[in-house]
Formats: sequence, structure tokens, C-alpha cells
Amino acid sequence: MNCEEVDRFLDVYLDGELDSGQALELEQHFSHCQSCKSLAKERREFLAFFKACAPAYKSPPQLRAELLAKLRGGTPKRTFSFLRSPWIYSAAALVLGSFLALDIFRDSGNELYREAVLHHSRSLTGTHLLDVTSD
Amino acid sequence: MEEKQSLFEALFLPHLEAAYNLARWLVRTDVDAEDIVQEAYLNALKGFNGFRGTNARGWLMTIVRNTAYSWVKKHSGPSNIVRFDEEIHAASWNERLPTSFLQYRIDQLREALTRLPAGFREILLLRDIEGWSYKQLAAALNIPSGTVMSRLSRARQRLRQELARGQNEELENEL
Repeated sequence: MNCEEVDRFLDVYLDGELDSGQALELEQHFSHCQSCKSLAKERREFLAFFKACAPAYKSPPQLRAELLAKLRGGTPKRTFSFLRSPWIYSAAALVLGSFLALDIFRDSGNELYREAVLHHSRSLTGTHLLDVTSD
Repeated sequence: MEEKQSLFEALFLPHLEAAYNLARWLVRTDVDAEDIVQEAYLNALKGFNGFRGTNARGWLMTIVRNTAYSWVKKHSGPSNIVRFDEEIHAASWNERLPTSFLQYRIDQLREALTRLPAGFREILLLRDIEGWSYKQLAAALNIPSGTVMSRLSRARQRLRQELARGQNEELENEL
């Protein structure tokens, strides 16, 4: 087996899927080719890294219950599935903001009204002829 | 009927995590993966009579895989895939500073995987994470075993290249 063939069969060898005759040939090649031996070591290490660090996605907690409901023919219990949509938070913020704004304006309107009545009442008293604003 | 349902649940629900992981490797969002898993389980239940009683996990995973491909074809649009990649690439280098070297390598691996075609991601997961034999891969992917060998080899080579490319890009950004 030459270096080119080793390169071709290396992955299969590392996966343990190469037949024993070819595997033996490959190992014999390693015994006199340092470069291929290093390549095999490098690939083996990469595979180990990949197996250990590849992402493992966890299913969301509600999935099992939703799935069971569907499999049993019930109504899928995607009770809070709408909460996963980002627009719902924007809409909620908008509604809340509008209420707050209305409340502020209503309060400030009342305040102005109260102040105007107070000023007017004071101006009507005989001893109070003029209001002077001091800063 | 109830007995069949119970048997189905006992055989296949323990593989929910593996099914979700495969779906999530194939599509780019959690929500899509959830939909695919639900659809795949419903398909599996419909075809349960065709299950020969061996390797429940492998049988289910093949259905998840087929469902994912049909789902992507049905819902395909540039939207999800492109948006996902943009999100990753939009983050600046400073925002992605690694908390540790290992975490940095893991993040790089994740990014490199997203740049691989789905067919490469799939074979890497099924072989290297799920431990499927070449024979099982050939049967599930409906390809000759010679193609399994070459696809797997190309997938690993491409992953190594993508990792190296990611590292080079980051080095260039640093300089």
C-alpha cells in the first residue's frame, strides 16, 4: 500500500470498517512511513475531538407532552407556543406603553386643570390681586 | 389499538432526544426541529405496521431524516437558513471572545458545521455521534457503501477545512 492509498482508506480504517487484510497492509505502511503515521494520529485526534465536542441539542421541555397529545389523537397542548413568537413581546410592549402614556397625559391634564382653578379662585379673593411667579 | 399505541410509545419515546438532535442538526431553528420531530413521530405511528422489530432507534432516525428533507423542501425559502448564518457572522470578533480555549474550539466547530451542506452534517452525526455502521448508513441514506465511504471522507475533510478557514479568518481579524 502506498501513501496515496493510505490517504484514501484512512477514514475507513479509523472507523474500523476496513477488512482485516487491508488494515494489516495499512499498519505495515505505518511502520516505515512516519508521515502517514502522523497523519493517522492527527485524524484520530480530530475524530475524538469531534465526537466529544459536537453539539448535542436538547429538546425543549414541552415537546414530549405536545408529542404525546398528538400521538394520542388529542388536541396538541401547545398552550404557550405563541410565547415563542418574538412579535408577541413587541405587541405587549406597545400596548403597555400606550396605557402608560395615556395615564401620564391624563394625570398631567388633571394637574393643569387643578392649578388653573386654584389660580382663578385666589384671584377672586379681595386681598389677592396679582400672582407673581418666583423661580 | 391501545396496546399498539403503548408499544409504539415504549419503543420510540426513549429516542426522542436523539430524534430531536438529528432534526436540529438538519435544520437551523429549534421551532423547525420541534415541528419535524412531531411530524416524524406521526409518520412513524402511521407506518408502525411496517416496523420489523429490530433497531427502533435506527428506524425512527431514518424517518426523522426523511421527514426533515420533505419538510425543508416544503418550507424552503432563503429565510431561515440565511438568517441563521447572518446571525452568526454578524457578531464581531470581540463579541465572540472565547471564555476558554476549549469553549472557543467548540464554538468554532459549531460554526464550521453550519457551513457544511446538510448531507455532510447528516452523515457526520449518524456515523460519528450515533455510531452507525457503513452498512446501516448505506441502507438509511439509500446509497451504495462506496458512496458512504467517499461522502464521509469528504464530509470530514470539508469540516477540517472549514475549521481551518474559521481560524485563519479570526487570525486575520486580529492582526
